[in-house]
Amino acid sequence: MSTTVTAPRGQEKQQQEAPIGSRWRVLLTPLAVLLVGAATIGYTRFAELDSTEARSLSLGFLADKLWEHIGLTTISTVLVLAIALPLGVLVSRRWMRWSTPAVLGIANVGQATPPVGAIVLLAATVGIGFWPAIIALVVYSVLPALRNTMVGLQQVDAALIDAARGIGMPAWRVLAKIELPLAVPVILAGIRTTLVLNVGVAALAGFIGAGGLGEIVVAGVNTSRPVTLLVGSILIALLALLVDWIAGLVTKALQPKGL
Amino acid sequence: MPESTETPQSLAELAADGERTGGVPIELIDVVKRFSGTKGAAVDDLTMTIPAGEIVVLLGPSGCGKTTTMRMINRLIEPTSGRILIGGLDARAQKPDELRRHIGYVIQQAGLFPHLTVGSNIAQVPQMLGWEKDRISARVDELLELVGLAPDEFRDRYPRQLSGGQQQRVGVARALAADPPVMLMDEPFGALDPITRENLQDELLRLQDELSKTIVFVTHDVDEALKLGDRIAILGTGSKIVQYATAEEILTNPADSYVEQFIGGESAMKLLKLTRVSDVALEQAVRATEADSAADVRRKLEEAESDWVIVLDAQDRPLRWESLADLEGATGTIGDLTAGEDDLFDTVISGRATLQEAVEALLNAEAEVVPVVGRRRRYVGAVTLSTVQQAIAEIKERERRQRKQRAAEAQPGVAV
Amino acid sequence: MTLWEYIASRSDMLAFQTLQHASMIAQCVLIATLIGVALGIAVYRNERATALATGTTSLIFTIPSLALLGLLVVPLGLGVWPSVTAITLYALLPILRNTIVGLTGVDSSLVDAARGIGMSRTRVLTRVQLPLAWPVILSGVRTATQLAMGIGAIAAFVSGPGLGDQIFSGLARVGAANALNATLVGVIGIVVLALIFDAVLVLVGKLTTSRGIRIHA
Repeated sequence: MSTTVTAPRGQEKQQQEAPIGSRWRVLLTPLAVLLVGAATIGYTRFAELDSTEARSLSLGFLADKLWEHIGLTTISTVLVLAIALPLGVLVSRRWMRWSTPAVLGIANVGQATPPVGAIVLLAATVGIGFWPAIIALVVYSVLPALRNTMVGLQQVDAALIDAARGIGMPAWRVLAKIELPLAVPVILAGIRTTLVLNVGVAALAGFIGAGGLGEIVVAGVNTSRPVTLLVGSILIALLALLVDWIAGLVTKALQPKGL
Repeated sequence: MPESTETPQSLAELAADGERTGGVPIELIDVVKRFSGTKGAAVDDLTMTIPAGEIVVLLGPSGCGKTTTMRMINRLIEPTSGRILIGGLDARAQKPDELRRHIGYVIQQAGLFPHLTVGSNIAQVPQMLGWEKDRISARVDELLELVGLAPDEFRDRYPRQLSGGQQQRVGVARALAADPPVMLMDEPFGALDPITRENLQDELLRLQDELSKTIVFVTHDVDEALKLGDRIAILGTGSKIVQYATAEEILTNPADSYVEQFIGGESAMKLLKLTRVSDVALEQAVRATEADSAADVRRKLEEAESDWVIVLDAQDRPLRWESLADLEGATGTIGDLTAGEDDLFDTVISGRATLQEAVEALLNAEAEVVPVVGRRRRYVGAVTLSTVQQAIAEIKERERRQRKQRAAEAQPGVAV
Repeated sequence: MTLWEYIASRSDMLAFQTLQHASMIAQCVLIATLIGVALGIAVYRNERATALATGTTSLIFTIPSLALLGLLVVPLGLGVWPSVTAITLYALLPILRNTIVGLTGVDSSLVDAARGIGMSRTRVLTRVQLPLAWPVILSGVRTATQLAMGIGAIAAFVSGPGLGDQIFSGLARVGAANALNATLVGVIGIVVLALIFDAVLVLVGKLTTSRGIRIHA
């Protein structure tokens, strides 16, 4: 050993935690969501409501719709991931590379499709209700998720894959040990987007009687009740912000070290 | 090839044969590589032998097919036709992944996996070979030591916390993990700053002294090739070998104008850089120790018809010069003499220094003679400007003789 | 009634709604581009201002379109205004973000060189930074346009203009004869419009990006 070297000092600083100042800021979003949420619900308790408003703003009804909304979002997201992740991996294999432009092209057209159009089309062909809404949600958000998985895998430095193959890793190990872990940041960001997107699209499910907080908004517009409309809108917005916040935390926690 | 009762069938068995594996030869026979959609072959009928335990540099301009040639050895690229034998075994008869685990692979900018720690990067191949955990971690530490990184400090770091030079040290360690007989290095030091590059080149030579692997080294840097290569293959388009010879031969007798142009001018200066002081005939000054009597030493000097004596300590380490004039009329021992200002050395050079460094030292030194030391600073001789001049003349003469001899044997020699 | 017959029987109205949709999106994206680029230029040099601007726009972006429309209907009433406001707000984020990324992505040595030969701040911005950041900004505009198209469809729910009307009249008549036709016309019309807009923006990009940059891109 002729020259034992030590690591440059400057780089150690980067390892340290973020300054304390930004820690409480992490809690800002849930606090604000809780505060606005409580104020909104509180208002519906104390304000004078007519019978139409009272029906669609009762605590039990709100809780039901919230629960349905979460159900729509979670089930559709899980299905989307179950389809998009394996498919994205498959399409990114070397022997499937020819299909990349076609898949990306379809994904682009898919993104140009208005989500409300997708939902109504499903209702007009399959029928109304929960499961047609789920199908519409999955159809709508599977393409961006698929594209994210593909992009995530494609942006992995080709030199690293070459190095992995060069030291004798079989293809499956290159995928499991190198490509997927390195694609995790992009894939996770994609999942977060999918999740938030699905909260929004799930709101549109209210149009086809599939439940969810969207129904409150629809009821508000159809019955010309601004309070109902406002409460429904606020709750959807708060749910989206909360889901985004949780997904953000999970994304950070699952980030591979060293990147 | 190691002798064993059963002939090994794969590089893996070959590698597992010895405790520590030295290199095995590599033969490329009529190798052709055509890429679909391109005119002409990337590698056009290449035949060459890479001797065991040597560093062979593939040197050529970018796009000449040198990297393609190298990547065919570990089958990252499959040849269109031809055969590649590694340690006498056909590369194509072995599973590519298993073959690659026994061929070290080092690429530009190291290609370390950023999400794995340094230790885990190095451990990849042993893991794939199914080694036990203890053995792997011991091997990781051993390799980190070998490449000059303190294991305790570096094992658990991530590649991005390392400098470029440190990353490439880890890259070399990863390549050496399963003690492969063959190493492929694709412009490994190309992205480093000049000082780090020099350091790592020296380290590689030191490692090679210890390990004697067969190393195929791709570069387009002439100085790097001359410094590292036991042999250098200068390649033209289609990986055609223009000249395949030692650095000395290429410098003293370039095969054609292409080679001449490629290696550039100043070939004598490059020869100086190439030759180590310990490899040339040194001046032998009269030696003395502190305890010798001045009269005896004076007699020795007169016998040797020399004016200067070098004074060594008990471990043969040089202390100072004494001149005949100083000894004139002295009675006691050498140690009794008062050393004059000009008797002290301002420079001592190591036997491992190049002749270029020796010339540099001579031009800067007050004296016309500079002592040379070997291991543990033992005195081995002295060097003067005429020593250097003579050494260069001898190299040229030797190359000329060898050329004639080869011509007489009517063989094309290694140059194809 | 087939899809073609449906289109033929209402061609005047469909043409009007298509034009209306296109003009609504074009205007909203134009406004969003002006605001987004101006805002981007104003904040990109200051880290705090950048964080505030992107934070606010991404907050708006996270709010689902139906909810944002609902929130806007209360102060703005039904019709064109909530639709236009919502679409413009959504279109803002990609444009603002790409403006900031584009401007900060300009090689600082080029800015240095421009200052060095005596260009004023404004001139550096208009002659060096904006032209170099333009491809990035434009790709933000493309994303914004795609987004605006989809959200424009929901606008009909709050009595906004455009092809969304077809989708919602389809919804209102689910099960009836022309429900599927109306929805299909709405959806396909919007997809086609989106693709045409995207093609136009790609063309604009080709025409307005310096050839010197495109060589590398």
